[in-house]
Amino acid sequence: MMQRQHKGRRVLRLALLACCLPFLTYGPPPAHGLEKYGRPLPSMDEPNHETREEEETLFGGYLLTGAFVKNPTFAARPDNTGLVGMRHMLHLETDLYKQYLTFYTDQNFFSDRTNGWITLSEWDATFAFTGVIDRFNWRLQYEHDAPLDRRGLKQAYADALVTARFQATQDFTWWRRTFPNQNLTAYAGAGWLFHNSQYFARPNNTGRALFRYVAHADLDLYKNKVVLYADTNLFTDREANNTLNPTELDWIVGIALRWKDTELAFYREEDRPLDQAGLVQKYYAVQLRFAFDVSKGAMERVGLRR
Amino acid sequence: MLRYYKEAPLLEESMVGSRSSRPTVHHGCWATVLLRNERVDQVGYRFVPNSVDASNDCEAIFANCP
Repeated sequence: MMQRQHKGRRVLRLALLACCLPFLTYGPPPAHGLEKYGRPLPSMDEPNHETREEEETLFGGYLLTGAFVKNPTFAARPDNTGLVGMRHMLHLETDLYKQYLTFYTDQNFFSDRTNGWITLSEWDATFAFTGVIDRFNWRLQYEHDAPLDRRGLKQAYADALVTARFQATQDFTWWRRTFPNQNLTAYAGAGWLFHNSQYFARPNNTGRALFRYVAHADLDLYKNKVVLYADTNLFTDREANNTLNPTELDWIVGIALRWKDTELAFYREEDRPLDQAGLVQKYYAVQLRFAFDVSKGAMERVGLRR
Repeated sequence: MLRYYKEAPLLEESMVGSRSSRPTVHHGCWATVLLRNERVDQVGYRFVPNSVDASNDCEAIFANCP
């Protein structure tokens, strides 16, 4: 347990809190408040326990919609036909046991800009468990990619991934002094695709992926409202002579602007082979995300939970 | 004693890749306010989990204070 006393700012904090006292001290002491996903919750006292539980988050998620504003080569189906026009995604997640065990799913849909932009051409479904142990994150994921508007190639894999995290404000004291409103968060790790059904090792759909190496960095420019980010994902080929040698590099750079539960992002992705010449898939996209959470009480009110 | 908890926004905790998302750490901040004689005596922050700096979320708990 880490207890941080910001002594240098205590006087200011006390003055500010004094202004809030009428609000903070409302009700019989001792009083407790709880806020999850930005929503205030009622007292944690036992007499009100049922009320508190009713307002706890059952699951959270976000809706994403994006337009590939420039896309010369990023395919709209697993068999590399078409070109993506629009992308829509639903993300749902729930904590099963604190931060140690979380379940999430992504339902990801693409449309083909060569077929009118609206009709969906691909559905990628992901189901995963994830958790945190100190600086380490683990993930167990299954993904299934299939065409929607015609019969064709389907891909699936299951992988295990472990990453280690770095946070500048926590790991460098000089960072917090120099950049009080900025932060740099990064993680890197490796994964193993222990099940692979036609999940390829290069953008031109050759080879079969075996390992993945990932690295990600978020440069928080201002209080998590303006964030520059970069992400890389490398695959190796289980059919290659050296199965540890990367055969594909996927990279993304972007900037995200966040306001409350909404995010507007502009980013570029490029997927290229590393061990031979071949198809490079790339695009520029703009996307919106809207986050939400559903409380236990809300589910009861619509009759879906007792 | 007053205790407040603020969870980091979900958009901070889930990164979007080309085909799916990738999770980052769910985190938040507990703020404990100790009152003595109806005045604030101490304020303590605790990050959850403690391996993540959640000071942004701690500050956000008191964002509505003038």
